[in-house]
Amino acid sequence: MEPGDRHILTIRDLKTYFPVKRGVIARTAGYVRAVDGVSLFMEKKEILGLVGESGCGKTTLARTVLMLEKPVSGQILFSGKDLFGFRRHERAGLRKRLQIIFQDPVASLNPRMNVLDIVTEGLVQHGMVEGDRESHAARLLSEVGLDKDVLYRYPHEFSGGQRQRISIARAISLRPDLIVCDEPVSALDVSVQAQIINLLLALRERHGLSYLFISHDLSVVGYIADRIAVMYLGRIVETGPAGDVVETPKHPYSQALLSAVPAPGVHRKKRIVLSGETPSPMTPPPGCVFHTRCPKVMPVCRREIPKETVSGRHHVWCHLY
Amino acid sequence: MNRLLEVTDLTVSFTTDEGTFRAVEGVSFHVSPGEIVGLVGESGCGKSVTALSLLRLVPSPPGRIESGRILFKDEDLLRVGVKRMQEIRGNEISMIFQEPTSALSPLHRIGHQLVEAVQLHRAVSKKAAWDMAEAALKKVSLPDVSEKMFAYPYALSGGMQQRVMIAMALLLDPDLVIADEPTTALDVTVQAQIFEQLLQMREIRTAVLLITHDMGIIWETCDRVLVMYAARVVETAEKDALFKNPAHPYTRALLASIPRPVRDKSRLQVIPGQVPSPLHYLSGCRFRDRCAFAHDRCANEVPELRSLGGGHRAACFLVKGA
Repeated sequence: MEPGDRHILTIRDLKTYFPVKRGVIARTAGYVRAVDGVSLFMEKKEILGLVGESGCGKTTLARTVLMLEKPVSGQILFSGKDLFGFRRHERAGLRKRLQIIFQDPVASLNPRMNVLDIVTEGLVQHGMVEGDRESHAARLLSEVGLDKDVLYRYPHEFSGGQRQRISIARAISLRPDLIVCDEPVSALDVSVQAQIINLLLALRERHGLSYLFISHDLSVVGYIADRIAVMYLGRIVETGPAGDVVETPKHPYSQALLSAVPAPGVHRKKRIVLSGETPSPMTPPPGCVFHTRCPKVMPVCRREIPKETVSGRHHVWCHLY
Repeated sequence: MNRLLEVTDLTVSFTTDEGTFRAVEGVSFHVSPGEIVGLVGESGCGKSVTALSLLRLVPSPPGRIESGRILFKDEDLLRVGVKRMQEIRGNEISMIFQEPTSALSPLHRIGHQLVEAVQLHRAVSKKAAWDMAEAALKKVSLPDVSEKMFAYPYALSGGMQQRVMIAMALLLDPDLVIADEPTTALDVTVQAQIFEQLLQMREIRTAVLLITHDMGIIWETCDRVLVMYAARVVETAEKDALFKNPAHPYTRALLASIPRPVRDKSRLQVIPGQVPSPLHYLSGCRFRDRCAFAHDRCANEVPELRSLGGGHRAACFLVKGA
């Protein structure tokens, strides 16, 4: 079977670098290797959790998938078609099918637009309004559990959870196939967080959506995702079914990350405390990027980039395996 | 003396354009030496205002400590003079804030900031203060200490900045450290490093009041817990008792709404509605509009904290007293 049949998204050896300019003539002094050779796939209706700590490149990866950044090399296939092989006007059609929900529901909603304008802006832009906008908006709001009374209200009148519901209504308005969720619940209180997670799961069922779900919170990702990809310093170090990655993480980085997550009520094994700091993505270490902090480092790790080891659906990039 | 801090009936109000409201209402608790006490609740529940009141740092106006007593080593902090309060701050009680970036001065080198804190409270030479500062940074396992003393805060990562804050808080051997969401801005692996530091404080008999919204952090670090909702304490217990046997419906719902890394196929339990605004608190029990067990009495009467035995108390009519 061709990957395009089953896979909504296929990423091959993607690299997204940002030039660092120095001096008065703004000479390029080097590159921040935000995404440095990532290969991933997503199946239709799948929730892929992308976890990693700040600065690991997870947001840049997502922005590249949304065509908001241009990769320096590599390929992204969306429904089997190369995203960056299109002409400008063809991309507009693709953009409809790729949407995003941001972390900060305050910054991502225009304070001068009312709810009606916010949730129908995309529909108007793409000429998809049939009949009146109000009925479109009311339908979208009911999808996310908001009453149509709020149509003419402005973002500041809503709580964080309600604002995130408005963002979700906007994201599903164009009937997308894939939604990138960039830390969608991190800014919310626990009791509200659960409401939004359940809403996202229900919408997936109803509309057959796929989510690329980015979060630093492994409890949330482990709960919501079907599969998890762990990212460190621009590279994927491990992917696999959520249960496998959470219960039996293979890469020493995933092991440390998971052991550091506080899980209330569970008496844990010893917490693995990593020493030191994440190296700069301008000068990533040679060999395995994690070797400077790895508790199980071997001489080979300093020289060679680890190859992929597959066992079942669990993939890991580490010399231990 | 087995009570280091004893807060009784603390009430703090704020006056805004929209009216006066109580951010903290009738809060009582105590902290013993070497104990880590967690104060947990969602945004706006009054946990940070409680912490700021202990050091009399509530901005006034608009804030006002209406009533209550804060006994610290048998001295009422609400009655002592400004001079004495300054002696206490940073010396006997110190504070770690959520955002190290905004808590450290961006214009002064790390070493300078630490030395200033020492010399404010101790009559020592600059050289001696410098040595104390270096020793404190070593204790929190900051790498390359002698170099970092000359660094400006922007040159350090968030985790290192927070370790500088912890070093500063421990610099003068305080009896009590108040930590307000000390790891919220940090990554989990860095958070794990900070937890180790907090747990070490227990060994040197420094008490910690840890304020957080994260039940996971409470589980990892605390001995005893206070759960706050809408300006009041709704439940207090030893950590194990609270997690094993939560009594207040809010605590129970809060624990059930935390996603676990491994998903059982059931939907996550949800607390309906949202955290109430302090301007529109309900009469009686403030959780009743979101509570599955609410009945008539909850609207008419404010539930008092009732004892379940062993120091476990909850403010709910459903709790059968011990």
